[in-house]
Amino acid sequence: MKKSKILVVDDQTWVRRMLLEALEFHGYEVFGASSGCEALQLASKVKPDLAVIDMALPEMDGLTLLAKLKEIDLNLRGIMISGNGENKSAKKALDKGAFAYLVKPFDISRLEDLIKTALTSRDLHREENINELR
Amino acid sequence: MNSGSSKVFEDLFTNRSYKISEDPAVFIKEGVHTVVLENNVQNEEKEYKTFNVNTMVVKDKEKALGVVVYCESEEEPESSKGSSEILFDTFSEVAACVVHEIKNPLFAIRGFLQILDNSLPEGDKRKEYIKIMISEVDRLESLVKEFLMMVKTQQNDNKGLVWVGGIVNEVVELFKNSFENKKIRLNVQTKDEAAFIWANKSQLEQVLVNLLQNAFEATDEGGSVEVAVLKDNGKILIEVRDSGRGISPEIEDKIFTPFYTTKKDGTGLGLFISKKIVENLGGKIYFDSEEGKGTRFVIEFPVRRPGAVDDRSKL
Ligand SMILES: Nc1ncnc2c1ncn2[C@@H]1O[C@H](COP(=O)(O)OP(=O)(O)OP(=O)(O)O)[C@@H](O)[C@H]1O
Ligand SMILES: [Mg+2]
Repeated sequence: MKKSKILVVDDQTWVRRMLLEALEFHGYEVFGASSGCEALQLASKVKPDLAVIDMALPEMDGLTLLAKLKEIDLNLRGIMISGNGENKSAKKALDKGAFAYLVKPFDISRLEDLIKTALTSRDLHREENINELR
Repeated sequence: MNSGSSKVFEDLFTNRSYKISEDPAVFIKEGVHTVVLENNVQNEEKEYKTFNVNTMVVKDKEKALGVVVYCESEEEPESSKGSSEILFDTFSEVAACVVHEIKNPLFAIRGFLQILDNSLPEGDKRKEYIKIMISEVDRLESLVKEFLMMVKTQQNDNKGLVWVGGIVNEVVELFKNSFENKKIRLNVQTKDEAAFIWANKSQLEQVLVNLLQNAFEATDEGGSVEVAVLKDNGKILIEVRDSGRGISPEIEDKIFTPFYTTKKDGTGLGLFISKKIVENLGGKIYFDSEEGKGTRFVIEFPVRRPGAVDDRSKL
């Protein structure tokens, strides 16, 4: 089976590196970006299945980036990560089409579980679309 | 709803020599409206008085039950901040930034520890060290988080008219799953629909979260927790009752002090912060408990009549 591609966008070098290594360890093909612009460039090349995005990115914020990534691939799943534990912020992210919202610091296994669910939902969705086309 | 709101409107302003220059319809929209009242005394220079009118629609699930209007004079001295308050706001802003900056490195440390853990074989003694380090990182993180909460309780802004029943339901909703999983019955009584207090909503939520979390942790499978909003003798009471292990008389005096905890992963700041928040809002928090039987925590606020202009003076 082909490896799923995951894009990790966080401006904090070590957080990004840690997430990349943890996800690579679990068998994903991973790509890292430290800003929205970099992420968009990378995404149009590699076409990730899922993006893990920090809410508070410099310049382009996380939710704006998510919207732009979805313009490239409507089916992309976005998991937002944030230091902000307020319900308001989480709700906003979900309203804007994020698949999930995790408050830092979280257990890496939580992220892995969510990624699995998100990728399954993406596959199901894709099948539905193909069926509709038939 | 329409007729309901104009009724409130009439009650407020009839029998007074005021004329309202704004369209009454403004009150129907939720939010804070500034209204200028014109004093109608003849042969005298006209007087104007500005009020902030806080309008809120009270809903039970989807049905609208009514509208609450709350008035507050513009000339409230509250808005003028002393220099120490301004200083404090700056301090709390800095504190909030620091907390966020601490969170990121903690997260990186925690994640790398987990990666290390995954790469070690089962039964390796070093796995135990890693476990300790992860739990210490978690403890640091909750300390930092509670610290931020504490700083925020000292800020007086963001207050508004808060519907107690609504908040209780929101917080209970957050806990539903965990209670179900642990097979604890969770009962909510918010009969007193019209209980309102003047408070910061997220702070009040925080207090309820703390109390429910404590009740959850104290109660074993098969037990029950009850949350109720009551009015008693002109006071609003929020009760959180659990059938848990209770609080022994020996520790009774300690539980509200900072860092006192009997839990392995507790910070011991939950009740301390809750008390600060409640007292900051002019309320009280207390409990009674019987060891082995259960505990009842009560938050008590003096009642305020929504819409009563006279209540202004007590702000
Ligand atoms: N409902 C309750 N039943 C029994 N004991 C309680 C209850 N609520 C509080 N306590 C006791 O009071 C102590 C202090 O509570 P507090 O909420 O301040 O801190 P904590 O719960 O230990 O830690 P944290 O809130 O940070 O997780 C608890 O450790 C517990 O011993
Ligand atoms: Mg607690």
